[in-house]
Amino acid sequence: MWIFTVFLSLLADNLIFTKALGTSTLMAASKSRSNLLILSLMMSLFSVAGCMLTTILYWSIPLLRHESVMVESLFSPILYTAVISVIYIVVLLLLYALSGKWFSTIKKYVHLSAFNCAVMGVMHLCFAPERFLTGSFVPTDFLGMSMPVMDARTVYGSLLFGIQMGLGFLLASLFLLAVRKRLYAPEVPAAFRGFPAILVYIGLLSMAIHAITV
Amino acid sequence: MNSAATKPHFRSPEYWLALGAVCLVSLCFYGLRAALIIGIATVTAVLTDFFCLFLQNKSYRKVDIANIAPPIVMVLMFPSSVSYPVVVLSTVFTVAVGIHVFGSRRNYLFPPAAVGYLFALLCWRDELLNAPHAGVHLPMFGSHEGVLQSTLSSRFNHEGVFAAETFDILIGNVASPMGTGCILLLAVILLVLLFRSSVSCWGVAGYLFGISFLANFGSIPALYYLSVNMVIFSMIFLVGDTLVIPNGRLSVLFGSTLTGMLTYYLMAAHALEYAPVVAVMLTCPLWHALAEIEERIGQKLDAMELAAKQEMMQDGVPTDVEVLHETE
Amino acid sequence: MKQNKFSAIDGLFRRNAVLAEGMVIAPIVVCCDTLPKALILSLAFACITFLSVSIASFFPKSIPYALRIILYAITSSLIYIPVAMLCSYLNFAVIGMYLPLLTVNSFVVLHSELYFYKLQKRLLLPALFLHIAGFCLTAVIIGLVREILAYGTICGRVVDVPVLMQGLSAPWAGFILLGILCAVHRKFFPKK
Repeated sequence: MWIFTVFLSLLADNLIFTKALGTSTLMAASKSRSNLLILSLMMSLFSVAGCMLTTILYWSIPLLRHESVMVESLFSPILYTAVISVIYIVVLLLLYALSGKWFSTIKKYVHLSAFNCAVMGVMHLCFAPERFLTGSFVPTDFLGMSMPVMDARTVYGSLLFGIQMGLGFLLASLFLLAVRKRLYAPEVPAAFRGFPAILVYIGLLSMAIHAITV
Repeated sequence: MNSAATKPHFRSPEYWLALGAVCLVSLCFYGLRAALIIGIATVTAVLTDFFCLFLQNKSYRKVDIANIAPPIVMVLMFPSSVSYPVVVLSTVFTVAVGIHVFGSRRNYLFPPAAVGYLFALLCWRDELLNAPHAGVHLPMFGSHEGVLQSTLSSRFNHEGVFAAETFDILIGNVASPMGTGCILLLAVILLVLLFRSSVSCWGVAGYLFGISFLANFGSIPALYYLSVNMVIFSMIFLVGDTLVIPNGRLSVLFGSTLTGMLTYYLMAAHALEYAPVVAVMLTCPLWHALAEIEERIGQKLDAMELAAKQEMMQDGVPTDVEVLHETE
Repeated sequence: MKQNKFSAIDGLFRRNAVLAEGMVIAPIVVCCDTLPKALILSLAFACITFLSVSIASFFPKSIPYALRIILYAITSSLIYIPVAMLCSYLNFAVIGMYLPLLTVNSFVVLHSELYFYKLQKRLLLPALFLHIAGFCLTAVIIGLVREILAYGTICGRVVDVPVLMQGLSAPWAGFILLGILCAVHRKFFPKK
């Protein structure tokens, strides 16, 4: 039964199905199995690293703990952009140093994964204002288990949060990969073939998930 | 690609008889209002079908009569107190989005009835989850407040006990959706359709196994869960729908087992009356993926067998059994 | 790619950013469930994107691509500050998380490099304006339809809708409606 709890928690908190973040990246990820694996890994990497690095900065720089910086979210896009930029450069340099001839193939995935709504959305969700406004942090569960471990103000909590979001993206990509050929089949009306059918398909799955959580 | 495209797009006469029997029972229990609801759904389905085919520059053919079935299945999951605009809008959604968006005759991704039911549930939740008791004939027009109550399934999910006698549950003399209450009739229909191969045997077997397996670890027997929450009805018309479920045996068996397990989990942990519908929607992609994997494995095995035969022929070894007998 | 005035003005209809290119879907699906929210989103998107892409067009192309993308995102984040202050002054808090996410929308980090900066300078601003207008048009249509069908109102004023479908305010309805609108768009502007 635990496996179903995990499955449903990944769907209920899914970036794609409940918040529509990263839909364009999802369509790129579902084109092939290699795309799926690499993009999901990259997205998870950026999400996890972004959340963890922001947490470290949060505790290292007293200015960031000021209410107006994190809570008002006026400066949060700059902070998150700066964090993602650092990770982006580091990842590119590492890949260039380690992957050799594969670098030109892999770098497009890095470009797609770095600056997109999904990764930024993960960081915004991780440091959502309601987590700070009440004064007492309300921890959430990791993968639906009743273990209050996801305190985003800790490195461990932000690591788990990033992993959960990455797994959710992977699951959504698998859902789309499973039926992608049928959405491009000649039986599908030309007006719907491809992108419109994908949107309707995601909508129907989102509908089923909403029926559980409503 | 999955061999769904080779499936003939028609419903067998047994299927229509079964559907007709369920409609007749709902007519007996809920009166002319049930007949009117089914009639409205049928007419709306045909008109929507015509319109969608017109937009695609296709003509209405005899095979398209099969598209009437999903809306009828959907309204049989509604209570008889549902309002007519809800029926019309849900039917339009079922036919247009559930059937035509993904290719109508050859390419069902989800059971259209499940699509329409969830749409109606999320838009008009209260109307769908409260029902009159069987035998209460609501007026065809006008309000019917005061006669609606939560269904038997809802009470079972929240309290864990049946609020009716066993005989009443078997014949459907309870508060339930129009076509899902009469367990006895549905069980007979299931057996008949199984023997006539009008429902997927592997799908039904896997689904039953999935629910029973997990119920083994709970305190409530599996038989109780089979009697509520539209389980048997969904088994026949959603899980066992031969136009939706892919070809293949092991993949269907495995996929429907997972569907059954997820159904049980949603009933036991989340107390959902519509658990089978949600479980089917969430596991349909898995069915298609597994069927594709099974097809690819089958093709690889065939290719290996062919390669082995060709190799044997090149070596001068007769590969045909008859030739072997002749030489002997 | 043909760089003439006709392809530049395609951004409103034929090359609509949302319906034809599939960009910036998230805010429309989640936020545009009423017309006022769609208008607020359109205003914020227009301000952030127009200023970001226009300013970033002056960055020299000799800068490596990786650094250019970072500069675009930082520029957009800086422009976000006055836009967010304007929204908060006007009490436009309804977009929530999706307002800061507009700083990394596909126009700024992807489409600018792939399309806008390849246009001639005199066509860049009109093309950008029309592409943004295309997004706003889509957002307004989706917001209007959802508000009428889900709440029976237009900008808060009640209209006579016989049956309301409150579920249409949820994200799933945004996906489905957007998919249908994309199909309608493709019917009128088929892909060549």
